[in-house]
Amino acid sequence: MATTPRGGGTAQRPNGASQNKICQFKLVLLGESAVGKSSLVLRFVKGQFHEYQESTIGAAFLTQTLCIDDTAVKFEIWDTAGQERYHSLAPMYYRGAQAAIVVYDIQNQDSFQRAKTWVKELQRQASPNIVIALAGNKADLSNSRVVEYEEAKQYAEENGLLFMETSAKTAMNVNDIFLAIAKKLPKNDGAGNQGSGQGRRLAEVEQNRQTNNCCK
Amino acid sequence: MNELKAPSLQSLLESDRGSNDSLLAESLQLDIEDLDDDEYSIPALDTLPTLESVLSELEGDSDIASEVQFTSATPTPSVDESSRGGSILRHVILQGISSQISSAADRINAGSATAVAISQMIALGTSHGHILNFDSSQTLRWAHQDQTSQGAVSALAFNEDVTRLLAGFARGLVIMIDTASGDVLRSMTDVITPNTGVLSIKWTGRPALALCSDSGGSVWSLSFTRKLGIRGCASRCLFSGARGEVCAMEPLILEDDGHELQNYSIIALATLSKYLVVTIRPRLRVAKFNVLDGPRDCLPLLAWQMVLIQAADTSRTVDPVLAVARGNQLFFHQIFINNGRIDLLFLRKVHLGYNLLALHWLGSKSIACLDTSEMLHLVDVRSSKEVECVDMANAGLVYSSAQFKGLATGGNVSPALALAGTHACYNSVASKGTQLYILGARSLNVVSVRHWNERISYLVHNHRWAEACELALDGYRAAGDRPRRKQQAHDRIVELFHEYVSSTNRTPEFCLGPIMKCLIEIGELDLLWQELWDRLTSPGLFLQLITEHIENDEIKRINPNIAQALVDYWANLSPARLEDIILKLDWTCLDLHQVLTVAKAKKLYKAQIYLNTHALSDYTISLMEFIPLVESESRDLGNCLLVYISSCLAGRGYPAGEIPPDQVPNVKHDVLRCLTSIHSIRSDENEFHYPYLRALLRFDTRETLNVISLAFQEKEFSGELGMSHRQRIVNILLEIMTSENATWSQIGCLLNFISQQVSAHCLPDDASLVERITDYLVKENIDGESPREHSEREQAWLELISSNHLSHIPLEQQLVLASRAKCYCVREYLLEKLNEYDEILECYLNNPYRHLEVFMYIEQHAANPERKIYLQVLKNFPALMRIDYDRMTKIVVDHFSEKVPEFVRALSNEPKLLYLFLGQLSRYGLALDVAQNEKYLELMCQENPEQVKEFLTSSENYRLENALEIVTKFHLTQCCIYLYEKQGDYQVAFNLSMELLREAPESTAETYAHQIMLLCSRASQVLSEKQREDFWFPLLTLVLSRPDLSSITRSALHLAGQHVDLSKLVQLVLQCGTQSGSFGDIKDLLVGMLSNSRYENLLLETTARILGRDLHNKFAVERKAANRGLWVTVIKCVVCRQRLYNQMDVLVFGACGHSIHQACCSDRISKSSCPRCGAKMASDEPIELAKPKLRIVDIDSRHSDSISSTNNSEMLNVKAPPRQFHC
Repeated sequence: MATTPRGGGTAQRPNGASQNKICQFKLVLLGESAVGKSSLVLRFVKGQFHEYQESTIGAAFLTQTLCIDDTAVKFEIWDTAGQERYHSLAPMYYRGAQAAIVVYDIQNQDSFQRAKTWVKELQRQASPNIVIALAGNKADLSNSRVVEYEEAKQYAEENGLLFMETSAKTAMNVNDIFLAIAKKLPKNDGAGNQGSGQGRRLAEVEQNRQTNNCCK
Repeated sequence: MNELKAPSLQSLLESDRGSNDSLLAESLQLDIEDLDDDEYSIPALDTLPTLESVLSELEGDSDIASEVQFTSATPTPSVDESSRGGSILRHVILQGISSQISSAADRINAGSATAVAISQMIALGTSHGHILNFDSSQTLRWAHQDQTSQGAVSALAFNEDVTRLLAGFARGLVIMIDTASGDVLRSMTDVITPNTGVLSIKWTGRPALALCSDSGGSVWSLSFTRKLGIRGCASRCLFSGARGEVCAMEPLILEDDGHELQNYSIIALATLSKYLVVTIRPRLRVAKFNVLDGPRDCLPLLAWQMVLIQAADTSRTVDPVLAVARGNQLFFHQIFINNGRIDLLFLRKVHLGYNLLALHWLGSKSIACLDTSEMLHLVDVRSSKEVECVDMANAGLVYSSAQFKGLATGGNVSPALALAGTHACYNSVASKGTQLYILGARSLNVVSVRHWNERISYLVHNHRWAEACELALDGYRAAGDRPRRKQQAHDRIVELFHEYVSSTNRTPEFCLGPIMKCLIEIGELDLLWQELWDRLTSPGLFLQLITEHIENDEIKRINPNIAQALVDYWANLSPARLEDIILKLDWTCLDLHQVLTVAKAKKLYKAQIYLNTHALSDYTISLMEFIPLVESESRDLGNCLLVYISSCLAGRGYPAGEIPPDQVPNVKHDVLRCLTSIHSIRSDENEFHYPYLRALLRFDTRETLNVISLAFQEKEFSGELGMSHRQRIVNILLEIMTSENATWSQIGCLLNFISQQVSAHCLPDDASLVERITDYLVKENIDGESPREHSEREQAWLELISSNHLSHIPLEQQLVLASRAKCYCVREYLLEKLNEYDEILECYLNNPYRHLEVFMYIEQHAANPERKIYLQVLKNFPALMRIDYDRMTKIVVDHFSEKVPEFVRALSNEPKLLYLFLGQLSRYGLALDVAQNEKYLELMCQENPEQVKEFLTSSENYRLENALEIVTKFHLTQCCIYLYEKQGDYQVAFNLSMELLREAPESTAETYAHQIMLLCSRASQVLSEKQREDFWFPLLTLVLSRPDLSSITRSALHLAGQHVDLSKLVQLVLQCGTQSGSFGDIKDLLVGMLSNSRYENLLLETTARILGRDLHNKFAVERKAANRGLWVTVIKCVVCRQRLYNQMDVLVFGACGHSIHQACCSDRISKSSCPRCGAKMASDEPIELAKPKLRIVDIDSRHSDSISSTNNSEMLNVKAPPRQFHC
């Protein structure tokens, strides 16, 4: 729902306000347990990495804002738990999400297969305009790689996914994948809203007072 | 357009100088909607026109109609919701007009302002006959000066379409002016009563019909004609001042075309004594009138308004409402058509705390009351409450007293009107929509009611955010279910929020609460999460406020961002509160990882269970995690878990709500399986089997079993399969609860539980199980068995018997077992069953918890001889008396009253109980015989000696000698004295009393002495003189000699004085006085005696004097009566109808003058009243009236009698014909 400030309120805003738009998006991370979802987010949000990241219970929530051109993109990130018993929670989070990152471990073929099922589930159940990215994590351990880059790349292209191999440990491609998602997301509320009904343009600064008056 | 020119540029500038934006805006609010805007779908105007827009508008043309579109019509939840002061009324002085009034007064000697009329133009009249007309922008359009010296302008009125202005003058002239040009169209000098002034002028709803009232109190209708181009006017008297002077008149003008009253022209008139509603079209008729009282110096006030009226049956009509007021009373009447007639319905009466000067509606919901101290009160009509009050004393209100006193026409008005006119301001206060115009001598004031919207803006402007929010919310709530209005209110609140955000940038926490409340109530939560949250420097206040709203169930979801902050905030401050919040919030907005981590760390079990079940849909993990902790943690956890298990097994959610129906079977199954699992997940080798169930049983056996028995009632445990489930669980329970690792009472609980199940046939019959239970039940002594457990054991036993599971043991054997196990309930039950009633009572008595029930049992079966109640009661009587002597005695009185002696005997060894028993018996009205009564007396002497005397006085049923003997035995001297006196042995009683008095300590001596005095005076009535002295003198001697009794000396002497010779008494007193050496003690007595004698002497003298005077008066009256003359008015005897003066004696009756012959006076004729007319004779002296007053004797005897008659006044001789005598 777009809220449009009216009349005098916006006219008195401080002069420093730029032409900025703030867009807010809901993003969900999915993938098998221990593929590095939480580490990926932690790296993106706080720039940290813990060797022994404790396993997530249920889901965790974080936010991070990126700037693209003159738009601030605010991600509300739901980092879901990968354990099988939390699977039933996932729909709660990807329903209404504008973006999803499906993570697998390049050392683990099973996790890649699981990622594929997640992608299928998203395509079937999530909102049709959802931007899905596939992330092959733990790219720093490529010497014990099991899932080939090409194989994943091909799969991603077939399914219209963004694809990157990332490493939370070395921060490789972490920001890039979020940035890529941010770029792909629709920024004007028209397109965004029609699709998901969730893209929110919070404040559009600088509204003409005259026009406001004359529509009455 | 005479002296004053059309407004110059300069004057325009002048008039603008004093005004400002809002002023102009004010003047533009010309046509204000009276009715509920929403009802009429008038679009809202959000912003007021700016100065520029107004000015450009004014330059264009003078067509006022084009400006009318600038109506101020905003949603008006308006004034009725609140009484927050200071923001509703706005007082503005119209500077442009005011300065024109001043300059007119100064430059052209126009005099001060006297009258005003408001429409889309503003017309002012002055005391020197000038009329100034302004348009809505306060620009002077034209001015008119009366050249014919008609005095002040006393009334002004615009017609409906503002093309004509009528003006009335103090000397009676009425003129009509074209408002566009200022030309006089008609000048009417003779339309009202000659030699009177105009008091008011009003247009009716019809175009060519106006009304005019004059200072003679008459009302005239003026119908304007234009025949062949010549303007004329026909005036007609509607109401003559001779019938009551009309002070106020108010035509009803209907703007709404569709109204049923449209065909009528209605005016309301008010005189000094009543008010009337009159129709003048279609024909002149008084529709209604009512009496109107009030202070003499207050004028009646009238005001019409169309009001939306909601009737009791929820039908809504818009009808005119007439407000009538005088003094401090205010009435509201609705006018409508009822069966083709105009009817006035009384709506409400309001008593105000002040006297009214002017009354005007401001909109349909509020009415402005100007009181005599020039305070303006805004009163909400619906609630009759004052909403706001403004002091208007500075306005210098103009009064039209001069017109009411008729100063211009030589003062030819009635004094009543002149007096009432001191407070007249009909023509100087006018209203238009929600604006009230008050004319001062040199200024024009406007008081307007701010709309809801404007009030918010006003409060915002003054940074009163809290009030603004409150008011905004009031408006939002008042919008109710009207979506359009609600949306408007919603938008206004959002706007308010943005105003708030932009003006409190530096102090983000200022008035945060009200703003948040507003946003939450209108559901704009996103603004809360984003704009408000992002600008905060410290989140504490925000989080606390949010928490309050969560706790009040106003919000369920919050932004995950804030949820995280909230959890962090409370995790440290108050984990308990955090738990509450978690339970109230929708889990989907929580960061589960964070919350569960915190909950685990802070041991928030409920929150964990809630999240585990609701979010993770995992019903067993909580059990597996927490049950092992049950014993080490607080009891809360255990209880919490038991409730959780119970609700899971019953298919309900924890802590509230329901489990989704499709999950219920799974949940039940999982929970049960988890509970009965043989090993826990991380079990070590030493673990006992069934760790979870075992832990719970160890924690609280009874409640755990309760949970299980509740679960057994679910449908999963019924049927064949359910039965085997039950069997399995019972087996597990038995396996856990062995005597090695459970106390007997715990095992007892279990066995009770099982026996309940068995007796309810909920478990398959199993002989060994029953055997095991029976062993437990008949146990003689169980260590540490609480009364509750014991009674449960008995209950279980009884249930087993009644379900026939113990049929293999003979009843007699069970009886023995029961008494050995002290199971008296069971024993009673068995005895009943065996019809052996002899010992049932003992079963009750042996069980201390059933003591009180025994009486019920006795009462129930007392009449049944089979039960042998009497014998049992008698046998256990002392025990029963000890339990409740009152109740027991009552039973005896009710059922065994003839057996009382036996009961008494039964208590012979228990004096206390016997005493209580006898006492209760007599209290319940059972007469005791003499022996019992004396026994009672004796016991009372032992137990309760204080009450003996009272008993002796109240009861008669005892032998004096025996009683005396008993009382003496217990040395109750007081009682002895009483009994001796009763026996007539006064001497002994007296001696005893004296002894008592002699020994008595100071504190009680006085009472004793008093008692002896009373005794003596009682005795004196039967004793001889000598004996009396023997009584009194020792007493007095004693009393006089003791200083501590000096206070009663005097009363003692007085009492004694009644019974013994006074001289001896004085002698005694003197003797004692000399002995004690104090004359002071008896001085009072002697002085009293002296003064008494003096008083009696005086009394005697006075009586003699009064008697003498009475006698004298009587005599004087007699004499006067005897001297009175009588007047005979008849010439015939009223009895025999013969001539009266035929030389016979004549009797004349008193005042009526009728007479009869004495000869005719027989017995039949009462001599005290006249036989003709019955008049009483000489009724003023009733004493002497047995005889007729006068006898007229014949002329011959007159001389001889005349001397005696004058002397003795008894008889008077008169000569016929009769004439009146004067004496």
